[in-house]
Amino acid sequence: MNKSILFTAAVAAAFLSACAQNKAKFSGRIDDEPAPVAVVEPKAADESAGKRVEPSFPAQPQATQAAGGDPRQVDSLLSKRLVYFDFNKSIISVEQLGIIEAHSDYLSRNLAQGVILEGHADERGSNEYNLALGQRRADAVRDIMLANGVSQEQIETISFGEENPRALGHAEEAWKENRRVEIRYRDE
Amino acid sequence: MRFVVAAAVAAAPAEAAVTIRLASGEWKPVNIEIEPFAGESGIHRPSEIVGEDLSRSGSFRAHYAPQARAHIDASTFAETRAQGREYLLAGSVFEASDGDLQIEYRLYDAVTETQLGGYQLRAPRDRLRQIVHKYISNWIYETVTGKAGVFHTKIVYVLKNQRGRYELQVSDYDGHGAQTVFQNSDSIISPTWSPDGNELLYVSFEKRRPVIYRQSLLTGRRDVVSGFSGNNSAPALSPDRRTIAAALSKDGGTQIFLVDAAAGSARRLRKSPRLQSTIETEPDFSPDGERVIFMSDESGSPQLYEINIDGGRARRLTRGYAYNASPQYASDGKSAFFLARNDAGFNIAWIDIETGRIELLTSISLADSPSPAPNDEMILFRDERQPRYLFTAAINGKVSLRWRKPAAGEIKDPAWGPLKSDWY
Repeated sequence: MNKSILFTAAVAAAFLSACAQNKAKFSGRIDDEPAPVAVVEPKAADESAGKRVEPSFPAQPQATQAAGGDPRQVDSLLSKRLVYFDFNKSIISVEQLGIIEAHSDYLSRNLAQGVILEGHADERGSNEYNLALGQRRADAVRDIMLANGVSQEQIETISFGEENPRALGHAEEAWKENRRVEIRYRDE
Repeated sequence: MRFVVAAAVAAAPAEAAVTIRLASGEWKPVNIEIEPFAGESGIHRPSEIVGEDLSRSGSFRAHYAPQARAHIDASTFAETRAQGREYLLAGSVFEASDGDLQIEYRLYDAVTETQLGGYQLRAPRDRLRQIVHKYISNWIYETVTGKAGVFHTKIVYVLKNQRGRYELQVSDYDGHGAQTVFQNSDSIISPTWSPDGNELLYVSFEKRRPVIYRQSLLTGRRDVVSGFSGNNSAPALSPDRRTIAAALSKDGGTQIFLVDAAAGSARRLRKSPRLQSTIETEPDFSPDGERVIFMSDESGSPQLYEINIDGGRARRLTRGYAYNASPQYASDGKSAFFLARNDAGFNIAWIDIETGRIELLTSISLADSPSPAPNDEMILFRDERQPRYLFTAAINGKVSLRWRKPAAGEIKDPAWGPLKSDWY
């Protein structure tokens, strides 16, 4: 909304400066028609075809962090979709909190957007405990999102336990990649 | 299956003795010499099947004679004794005119120089392994040790095949003769047997979340036994088959509930409220149906607990190790097998419930998924580093042996079937 106003103002300023230029050309004759200026329609959000609202952004990136950014944009914080955990733990470290908060911020301002939190564990130990651990990890990320203004209806949590590793291998290198929650946006 | 038993001495029925002797330093296996059966050939040789069965049990060490002797007499026994072998098995296998196999075998005691028994069987060729397990290996095991043999029993496990599909398979305990009873593109975990071996309970993710199914191995029919919202997993069937213990997340967290198999209603195993963040899972019923053993991390780390079905407080069983999981009762209900993590890593362990004494049964670093045999003498397990095999560990002597051949994919969640069923 803000962005389209900004755009319109820019167009208006261009229009006015163009008029000023034309007036200089046709001096003395006040009833001359100003030369037509190509009017560029401002790019509004795509509401016409009844499609889902796509987030639209200014051409220049904002100077402040991309809190209102696009989860699909490669260099934004929101492109980070993985939250990692220590062995057998579901505690979220301070470093991971920033990622979850960025997603929470986006979701709380896009209430129609759903998210799925997938919990996972590394291969060690009991299969069943790992299923429950994956669930607890997903629930932990959910709880932070709820506390940050995301609504219950937007969030679904599931667990795959140790069944869907990202990294194969039987050492810490692989295990640490697998102790994670994956943040997946619906309809992506 | 047709067979004819024409023979002499029948072994006395074995007592189900479940004392576990775990002092491996004092454990001495019985040495048995096995001759190649006259006429045996190909990949399924009776002498090898028996030798592998007896060796896996930990109670025997099998030695293979280079050839079948023409006849067995006093000098044979002297020679056998001189090599430290106490028993001798000899036999033959021939194809009858109708394509069936005729198998004959004799067990000798080299110390007393007597024949302990001799039998003759007739069976179709495709039943050879089952016949050898049930009538030769089991018989020798029972005759010498006095315990029930389990070499004829089946196991169930989940295979993740090379196309990434999950197959629920039933096979011989040594991996032969695998049959797929259910398959899915989504995960299958935690299969478990009904006490009569005719049904399986397992968890399938086909509805995009874990739901517990029951499937008859006799009819193939399957239905949902626990499909509450959230996760439904870790099923265990009570000995009277009326109750399913399961880990459910329907009320938040992961907690153990008792689900009435007929009515489908669920009640919490423990009345006292637990913290939302506690994980309580992997229940197993005691053989008399009166207690449940399970794991919980309410103390801050995964530990084993036991509780009476009819109420009361849970008793904590483990204290020594940082991580204790996957408990399963032994058949006398007085001890349990489980997975423990110590400084060396994850290993299969055993605990005496009354005294709290713990013994480790393996010494690798990434053991997983213990499942004891119905006579408590062997245990199946996995090694994460060798996911295409299963292993058996003998409780006595602690001999661990890998399956001879890898499976056609990764194997997970083995569960050992009961001693008897209607179909094996």
